[in-house]
Amino acid sequence: MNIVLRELRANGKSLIIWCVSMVALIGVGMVKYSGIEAIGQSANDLVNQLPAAMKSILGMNLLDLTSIAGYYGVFFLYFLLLGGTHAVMLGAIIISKEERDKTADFLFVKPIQRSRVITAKLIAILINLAIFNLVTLLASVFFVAMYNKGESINSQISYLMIDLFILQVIFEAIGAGISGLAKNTKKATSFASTLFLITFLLSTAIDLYNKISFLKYFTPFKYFPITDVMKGSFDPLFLCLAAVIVIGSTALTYITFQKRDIYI
Amino acid sequence: MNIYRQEMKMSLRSMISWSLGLLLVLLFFMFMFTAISQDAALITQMTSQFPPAVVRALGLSSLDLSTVLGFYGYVYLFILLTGSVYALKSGISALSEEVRAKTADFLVSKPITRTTIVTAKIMSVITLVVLQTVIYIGGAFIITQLITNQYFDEATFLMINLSLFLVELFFVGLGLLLSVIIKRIKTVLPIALGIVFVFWILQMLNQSLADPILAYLTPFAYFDIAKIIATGSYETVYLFCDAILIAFFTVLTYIIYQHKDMPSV
Repeated sequence: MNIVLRELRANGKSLIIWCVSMVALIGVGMVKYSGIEAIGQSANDLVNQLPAAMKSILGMNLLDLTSIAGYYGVFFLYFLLLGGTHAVMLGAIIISKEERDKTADFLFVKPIQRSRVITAKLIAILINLAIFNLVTLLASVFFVAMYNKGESINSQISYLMIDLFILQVIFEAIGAGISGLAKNTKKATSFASTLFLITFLLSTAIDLYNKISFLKYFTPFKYFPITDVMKGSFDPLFLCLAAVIVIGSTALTYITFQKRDIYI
Repeated sequence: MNIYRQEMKMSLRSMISWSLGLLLVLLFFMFMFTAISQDAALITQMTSQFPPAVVRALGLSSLDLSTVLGFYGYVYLFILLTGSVYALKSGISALSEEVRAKTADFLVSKPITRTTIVTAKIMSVITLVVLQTVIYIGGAFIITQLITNQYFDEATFLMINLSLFLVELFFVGLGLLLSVIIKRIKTVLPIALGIVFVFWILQMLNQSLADPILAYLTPFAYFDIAKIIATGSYETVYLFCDAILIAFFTVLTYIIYQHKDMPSV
């Protein structure tokens, strides 16, 4: 419990910065909607003429951009990018930082098992991710309501936030798994961010050229298509895949840290 | 000079792997060119009939993906994104690494002024960025030439790629400034990734809003690839803006570093 509290305090400042930037971003992004909405139906008709391949290159696959839900769905892709960065970095740092800060010997000589230390840290990360997610949800609901003239889209937003949370947890687990394998924090963060960038680029490549869509299993950005998520449906196959990744990576974290030599 | 040499020795390897990474990203995307260019020609034809206001508001790319340079310009955005992360990371770590490695007191107690330290470090980061640009442009030229097997204007190609250097310089400057303002930076990459992504998203918004004020806020907007392809030159205002900001960041870095407290062990 002490470790959880300690971690929450240690990450407080960075979490606040992340949340403030998310709120600012959503605010700015919704301003853009007023510009698009003005153009209205005519734009939408034009977009519908486009071949599917082109629409996905432009990032507006199957979504009606001029409706606020469609617009929010497109904008949401960037939340995945930011939420993923936040999560993968938290995961990669939280355990290995003890060695970096030379506090590992202090922590690991305490009369608690290593596995309990890791559990506490993972709980602290999950709380961080949940706060990030909640702030994004509230800011979205608030700013969308400000510009929304039609019916409420709060349920769609909530579904998207579930999607965001799944992605956050996947990347957090991967980050933590990597930090178990890497020798130090620096290696862990650079490896985790490389992996993160690769998955992101892979997802854009799949958008660009759909013949390589079989690669979608390798990039969590592609697990749950936004259009399905907004209807509240999550593909069970990919839910299982996500669960496997999370459980596998978390198990890896526990195993590697159990036997790890601590360098001070 | 010793500081410069030490810095180069420490970061040369990571620079090379990042540059190779950039080239790999490019290679991966360029392989799709032939498959896409025919589709793209059709689409360009269609979108060319859209009113300009609609094109802008939807954030439609003004690049013609059916041409080599147009497609390259699209892929180049991702190169720019990755290169910027590298530049910001290098900028932030140059000065702050000493504190993390607990070598700051060792370095600043040497009989050299802090100005000398900052100059040596800045020179080393700039050398890295220059080297990266050279490696990248060379590799990109070969890749584009071999894979697309089509004629493209080399001068324009060079102009597009040189903007990588100019944007990277911006992020190096910003990184240096951040590293002297923030009291203690524990991990560099999360900060670098977060900041670059925020600028990137601002650029996405800017593309649809085409708000002249927003464009000044993000270096990604300074070099509009579509315009470079069309005119073969940069926009003077933004080039100027880029230069002023870089100078501003650098000067502030020198000033603040003079008085910075060095947390030691």
